[in-house]
Parts: sequence; structure tokens; C-alpha cells
Amino acid sequence: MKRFDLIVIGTGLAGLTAARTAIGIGAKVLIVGRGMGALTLFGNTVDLLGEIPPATEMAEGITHWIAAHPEHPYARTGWEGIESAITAFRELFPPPYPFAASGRGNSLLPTGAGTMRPTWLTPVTMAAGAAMTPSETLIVGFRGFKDFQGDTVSLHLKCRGVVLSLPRYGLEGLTAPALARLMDETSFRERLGESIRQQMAGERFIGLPAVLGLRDPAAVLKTLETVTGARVFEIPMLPPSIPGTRIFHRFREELIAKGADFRMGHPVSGVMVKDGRCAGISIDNPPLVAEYRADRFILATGRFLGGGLWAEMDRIIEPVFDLPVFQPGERGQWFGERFFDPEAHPIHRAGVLTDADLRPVDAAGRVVLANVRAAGSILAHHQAIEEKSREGIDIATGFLAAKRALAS
Amino acid sequence: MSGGSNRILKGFLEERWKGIRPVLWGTSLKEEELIESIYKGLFNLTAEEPGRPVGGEA
Repeated sequence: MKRFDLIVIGTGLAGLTAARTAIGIGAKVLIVGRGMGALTLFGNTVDLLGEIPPATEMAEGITHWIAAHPEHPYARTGWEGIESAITAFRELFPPPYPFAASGRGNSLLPTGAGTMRPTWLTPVTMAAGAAMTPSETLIVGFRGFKDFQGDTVSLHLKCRGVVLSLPRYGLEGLTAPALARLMDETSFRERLGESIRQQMAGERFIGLPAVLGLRDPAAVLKTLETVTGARVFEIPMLPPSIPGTRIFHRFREELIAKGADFRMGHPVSGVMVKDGRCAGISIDNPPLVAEYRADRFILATGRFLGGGLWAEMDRIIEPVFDLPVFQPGERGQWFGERFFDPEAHPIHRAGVLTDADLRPVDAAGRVVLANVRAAGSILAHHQAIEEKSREGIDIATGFLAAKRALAS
Repeated sequence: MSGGSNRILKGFLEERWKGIRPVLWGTSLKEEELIESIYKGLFNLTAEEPGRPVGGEA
């Protein structure tokens, strides 16, 4: 049986960050996941805290915000912890596909609903979206591609819009992965750029759905900008997410290159717990059940959608270790009266409580398993959807959990 | 006209909420997280607040 220094459960951004951080310290790491993680659904930009106004400098804004939110996961990492983790993330994405902030604070990017949305770091393929002005922007949609309604986006953004029939594929049923693979072909994107150029009326910006290639998005961007003479930007849209899939692939490539073991596609079916420590996990891989042992574990299985939390009729459980879960009252109190209540639904604060070291604790604050840490959205007392903090929490707590785990 | 079809979308989500709220646990709660992640998270749709200073609808 193989023995690891660290087993990470979960292949979302938190788990991937934890695994990469541990590999960087020289640990022998296994990362296991049931699916591909939320990155491939919602990954686009890196949000830290969207509710900090764009005019406020981010370090200052978050430092003040943390002081007012002492239970939030960011209170565990502090601004310094966020900053080191984000710096490490950015090192994984060197040019030509870097992630960068466009100013000292949040920037506003157009979305696939024609709204504007605050975020912190954008990939180079989205950067021009923060600079666009409606009168100088053309929004391009594709006939038969239902996940991006270009005419709705242009209407709401008050831009001009066109819907193109693609050079080769004018048929119904186009998907984002299919479009992204087409963009990876030089001849396809050159012809697309030419089709766009013919529709332009002096615009300086072109907005497209976020499907500009999986293999080399910077090259797709360059071709389109060269042919059209305008600045081109991707617009985040409905899942599945091509930009998030790029992030996932980059992490996986790096982890495999550095010697991490991956086990994907099978759930953790059991854990071996003894004397307040976890000794190993078993993974169902029919017809076999494989056992893996490690000195330390990081749980980064996400929330309800990812399977990290599960709601029974009257209580919320954590299925892997059966950890204590903080929950806001009984089910009748989990949700607000209206879908769009001004406050987030209380259930979003549910999750795993930890000590300063990210070790899960019970209601009395006692550590439950001495060598297990929790990271990412499974943690209690954040409201990532409303706050726009999903990636920041994943990156900062995944980084901290790995550092603390390997220091013990 | 601006925001028109998003108003319709929000109305639809509110109506849907009335029906689904009493049965939100198990798999329907997973679906709810997906719906909120898309419309509130990704698309930044919020309760109607005319003239919100940050983000929201153009």
C-alpha cells in the first residue's frame, strides 16, 4: 500500500491549491475527486470580495472588512494570507495567459446576462471587458449557440450586437466545448475574425462568449485582435465554463509534472479513524475498493452541489468524516421569503467550523480530528455567492491548510 | 427597455421560489445552489435596487 504525506479530498480550486502548495514544500501528495470540481462550472475570474467598491484599494478594503467579520474564513488567513496565496496562484499562469488586476480595486466586467459584475483578477482574455465603453463595443453572438444570447447582452449593455452564422457550423446545438475546440484551429479563428471585421462600424472593442479556446487562448485572442484591429474580450456565461476548465487543466498539468498522484471519478467511500486521527481513506473503484494511507488530510469537497455538505430534512451533514456542521436553525429558517432577498439565505452560512489552523471543531470549539483540515467553500460563515468571494476563499484557505498541515 | 428581459427572469425565479422553498433539502437543495450560483453569483442579478452604485444591471 502506498503511503502519502498528504491526501487532499476534492478537485476544485481549494483542493488543487492545497495539493500544489504541498507539492511545492516537497510533500508526497494524493488528490482524489469525484468529478472535475466547480471550476469547470463557474471558474472565470478570481473574485476576492466583490462587495468592496471599485474605488477602494483592495488590501485596505479587505483588512477593514475582516475586522467586521471575525468568523469569516478570511479572518483565518488575514490579508497577508490571501496575498501570498494569490501571488502563488498567479505564478502558475505566466504570460501569455496571465491573471491580473486592472486597478487597485475591483473592476467591473460584463456578464452573459448583460449585467456588470465586480471581480479582482481577470485572465488576459477578459481584461479588455473592464475597459470597454458601450458606444465603442460590438457584442458578437453565434447562431445556434443557446448558452449565450448575444442580442440580450448587447441590449442590456447598450452596445451594438450581431449574431453570426459560423463559417462552418450554422446548425443548432452548438456547445461551449465544441466552440472552444474550433477556436483552437488557426484557420477557423482567422475566418471568424474576418466575419466579425465585416460587421464592424468603427468599434474599438469586441465582446464574445467565453469560448476562446482551451489549448492556447492567448493565441486565439491575438488572431482575433490582429484581424479585427479591436480589443477583444471574453464574457463569462452559463456553465460549463471554458475559462474554468483552463484553470483546472493548468493545475492538473503542474501537479502531475511535479509527481502528485491523481484519483478522479470515484467517491471516498470510507475513512479509517482511530484515537482522534484519520489513518486512511477508501475509494470505491468497482469492483475494487482501494485504500490509501497518509499522515495528514485536507477536506475540500465543496458545498451541497459538490457533495461536501448534504441536507437531510432537518439537519445538514458532512458525508466523508461526519464532521460537526454549523447550521442556521431549523429548515424553516434556512431560507428567506423571497428568492432575491436583500440578505443572503441563512443556509449559505452553514458549513464546517474550524480552529485557527483550519482543523474542524465541534460546537464547543474542541478539535475533532487532529490531522484533518478543511478548506474552501465547505467552511462556515461565508456567503461566497453574494459576497463574490468564491475563488479567494478557495485559494487562500487551500494554501493555508496545506502550509499548516505540512508544518505539523 | 433596459433590463426588461432580466425583470422577466427575476419574476420567474421568484415564482419558482414559492413552489420550491418548502421542499429544499437533499438533491433539490443541490439544484438550488446551482441556480443561485448562476443567477446571483455569475450574473450578479440582485433584488431591484434602482441606481445601485456597484455592479448590477447596466
